[in-house]
Parts: sequence; structure tokens; C-alpha cells
Amino acid sequence: MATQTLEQVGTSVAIETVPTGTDLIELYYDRGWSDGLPVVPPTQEKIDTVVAALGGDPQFIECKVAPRWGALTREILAINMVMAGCRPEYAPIVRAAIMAVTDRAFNLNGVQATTHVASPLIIVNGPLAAEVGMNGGANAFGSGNRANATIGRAVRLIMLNVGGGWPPDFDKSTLGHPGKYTYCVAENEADSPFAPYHVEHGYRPEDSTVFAIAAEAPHSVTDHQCNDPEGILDTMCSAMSTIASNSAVLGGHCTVVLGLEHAKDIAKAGWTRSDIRHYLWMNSGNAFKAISRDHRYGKVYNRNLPKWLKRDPDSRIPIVPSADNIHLFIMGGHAGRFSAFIPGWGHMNTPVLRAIDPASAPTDDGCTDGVCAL
Amino acid sequence: MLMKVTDSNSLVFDPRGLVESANIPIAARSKKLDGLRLAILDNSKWNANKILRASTVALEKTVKFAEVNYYVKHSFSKDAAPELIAEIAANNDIVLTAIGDCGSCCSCCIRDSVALEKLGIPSAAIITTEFERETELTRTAIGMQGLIPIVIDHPVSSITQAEVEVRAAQVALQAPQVWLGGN
Repeated sequence: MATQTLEQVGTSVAIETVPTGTDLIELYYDRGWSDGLPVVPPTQEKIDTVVAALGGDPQFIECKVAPRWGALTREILAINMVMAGCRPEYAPIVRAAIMAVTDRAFNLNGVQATTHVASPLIIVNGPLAAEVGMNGGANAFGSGNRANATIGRAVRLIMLNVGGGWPPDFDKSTLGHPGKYTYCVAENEADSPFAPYHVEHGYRPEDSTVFAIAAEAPHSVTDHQCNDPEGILDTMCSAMSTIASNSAVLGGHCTVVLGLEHAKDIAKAGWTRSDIRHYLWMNSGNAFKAISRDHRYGKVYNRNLPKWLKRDPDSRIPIVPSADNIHLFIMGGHAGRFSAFIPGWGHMNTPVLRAIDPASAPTDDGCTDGVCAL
Repeated sequence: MLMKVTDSNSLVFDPRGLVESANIPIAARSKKLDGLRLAILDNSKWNANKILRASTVALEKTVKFAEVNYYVKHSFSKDAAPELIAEIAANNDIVLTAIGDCGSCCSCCIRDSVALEKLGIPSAAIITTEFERETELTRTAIGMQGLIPIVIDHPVSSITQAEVEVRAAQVALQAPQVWLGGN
């Protein structure tokens, strides 16, 4: 693994010429510039094409990436995108995703360093997702789609190469999870019975956005019996109410993904997105005696939960502090009564919703410059 | 067998980007600890308060602080708010902060200490043995290689009160060296 985490690069981009016939894939491995999978060796032509898609000006610094605080110029962004296998038309999405995770509210420094499993989950909304061929349908979180796979991989490569988040030095995750290779999907807007996520948050349907949250891997929610909102959502509440997640003891935000069969049954009963989120919030969580282990290991207050929560033994501790902290997406294929719960990292991470085209602005308050801290 | 690259791929592009890292000196050190105002910055991690309170008791056996002021930041995995850093710097002479016993909390303890050192306040961050390498990298990345942490045994979050006392003794031994430096 990389031994040069903090080594400084003398010029904006160090370009080295190697003898003809050098196996560049092996060379990139040797330098520690891979996520463990083979990278696509960048060429000047491929880099230039991506830089052009980003608006030119290769030395323009988009942001700095924690915890190494490397400067992400458009040229460096392009190099990592090519290495990930991205097509040039993915460039605005990758840039928006990186700008979201490097937003101060997101706390990328903590996300990179944490012993928890969390990794940024990127969810794309709006027409651009379909234009580049992203998958929000069958096997959305799985393999087989280039856009999903390589956009997410580019984000991770930038976190590693520019951000320096290499295990075991700066990335101290005890276990990690498979989303640390790539973790990027689209909402299935075409088949969803509800308005898209970004429209719920004030954008127009024709806008394209990225949503970023520090997240565990998806936890499957199976329910083949219930066909009404309460029944289906009670099953989701069961998955949400474990005491083992960071969400349970540290609050923050979480993500709920409803599969199409579940979503359509709920919509048929006339429920809205707001109804779903509030029902989940009201009916999930744990008794304080459960998360305090009934004070078996000493008196527990838990300073990481909001002060306004009662700490009586039977007090309900909601899984996140409000229904607005539950981020609801509709995804998946037409067949299958499966949904997913994705716990967050805790209150240390604030998810960010960001327009891919900076000219797009949400129509509601609480957002500036196309960025909404949720 | 992996793909063999061709002549057209004879250039290697470094994907890491430039790091602009200075090496800012730590704050000036006092010659003695007696009479100084000590700030305790509790990062709210499990057992941070127990470690810090036991350490304060252990330190007060040999040092007569003018004041001991206790501060808590809400999130152990985020930097302390700038206004909290400013308040601590305005009302104290030295700082003891804990606990860096996880990846993000260690990073943030070190970052808080660097922020305080920049304001002229010698700061001792307590980390555990598992996070010495991360501390070394973090202080280098943010440009204060001279910052010395207090290193205690890992773990902390699940230990007994007797084990807290052992770690507090480790803190009491190391903290004066961090605050006084070579003086």
C-alpha cells in the first residue's frame, strides 16, 4: 500500500517518462496509486478530453481534499477519472460529488479517518443520471453499470490519492465495507410513484443533483407479506431499530431506500414522502434502557444524543433526531419485495445536496450557491 | 496476466496533487506550571470525561494551577467550533484535551491542539497507542510537526475505573513535558 501518503509533488502534475513496454498497470500498483483494482493508465489525450469537459483551465483548483489536503486541480481530477474508467461526460457528476463531500458540513476529514465503516454514498437525481446511463433500477447497488461503478470509483480514488485516505495510516476503519471501492447510484425516477428526492428538497425535476452522505452498506429489508403502508414500514422500522448502528447512539442522518413494489403499495394508499418519513421516525428507535444497557456498565447519559431527549429507562430514543434526517429514495427493479436501510455515521456528518450545474438553484430556503446543508 | 501497455502509454501521471504544507512552530512554553490556568477540553467520547477528571486530580498532586476550566465539545469527530477555541485561548494558559482513541477523534484532537497552539496556547492532546502513526501524519499534513501528544494505552472507551487511574498516571507523567517543552 502507499508509503508516500504525505510526499509532496514538486510541480502541479508530475509527469514521468518510462521505457517503452513498461507495464503501466503494475507501475501504478507499485506507486500505491490504486484502490486495489487495476487502473486505466492515463494518457495526455484522455486527460485533456476530461479537462475540456470540466471547462478547461487544467490548473484551476476545485477544492482541497482532507486529510492530506491535496489540491484537486481539474487536471488531477481528470487523471483520477481516467484511472477509474470514467467517460468524459461523467465529469460534471464526479466534480459535483467531490464538491459535496469536501463541503465543510460533510466533515470529510472525520469520514476518512474514522474507525467506523462509513464511506460517502453518492446518489444522483435528475435527467443527467439517465443521460449518462446510470442505473437506479435492478441491482442498483450492484455491479454491471459503468457510470455507477466508475463515478463512485473516481470519488474513492480522489479520496485516496489526493486526500491521502490510505489504510491503515489515515483511514483507520476497523472493518471498512465494499462501498469503499465505489458507492454511487441513481434514484429510479422513471418508475417511482413519488416525486424525486431532489424535487422534495426544492429543486426542479429538470435539475440534476448529487446527494452525499457518510453511510454504512445497505441492510436488506425483506417483506413479502404486507401490502399496506403501516405493515411495510413497520418492517423497515424493525431494521432501523437495532442498537448496533452508529445512528442509534449518535443520531445524525440515515438513508431509506424503498424498492418499487413496496413504494407502489404505499403510494396506492395515498401516502406521501413526508408521511413515510414521519411514520418511520415515529415508529423506529430504541428505549433508552436498551442503548444504555440498563446502566450495567455504569451510569450512562450519552452526551452524543440531543439534550432534549428524556433519559428515563423507557424513553424512546428515535433513530435520528427528526423525520427530516431520514433521506428517502426509491430504487430497484420491478420485481421483488425488498427495500434497504442504510445507517449513517452519526451527527458528525451532515449530508450535502448539490446541483450538478452550478447555475441550478433550489427554490426553497436553507440553500446557498446551489448547496443545501440538510 | 494483466494487459501489457503499448508505446503510446509511456507517460506516467502522478494522481496525488500538490500539498502545500508549512511547518509552523508550536507556541512558546512557560518555565513552570504553577499559577497557570488549565483548560480541559473534553471531546465527549466515551470515558473522555473520566480520563480527564482523573488526570486533573493526578496533576494537581504536584502542580498548583491558578484555575481549572472545563469545556466540552459536542462532537468528538469534528473540530471544535472556532468560537470555542477562541474562548479557551482567551481564558487559559495551557490545555489538556482527550480522547483520541479512534480515527476521527484522534485527528480532531490534534487539529484542535494545532488551532490552540497557533493562538499561543500549549496544548496536550491525549491519544492512544493505536493512533500514534495517524497523529504523526496529521500534524505533518496540517503543518505543525513539533506538536507532541500524550500517548496512553489503548483502549479507553470500555475500560474500568481502575484502568482509568492507570492511564491518568500516564497523562500526569507526560503532560508537564508537553506543556513545558525544553524549559
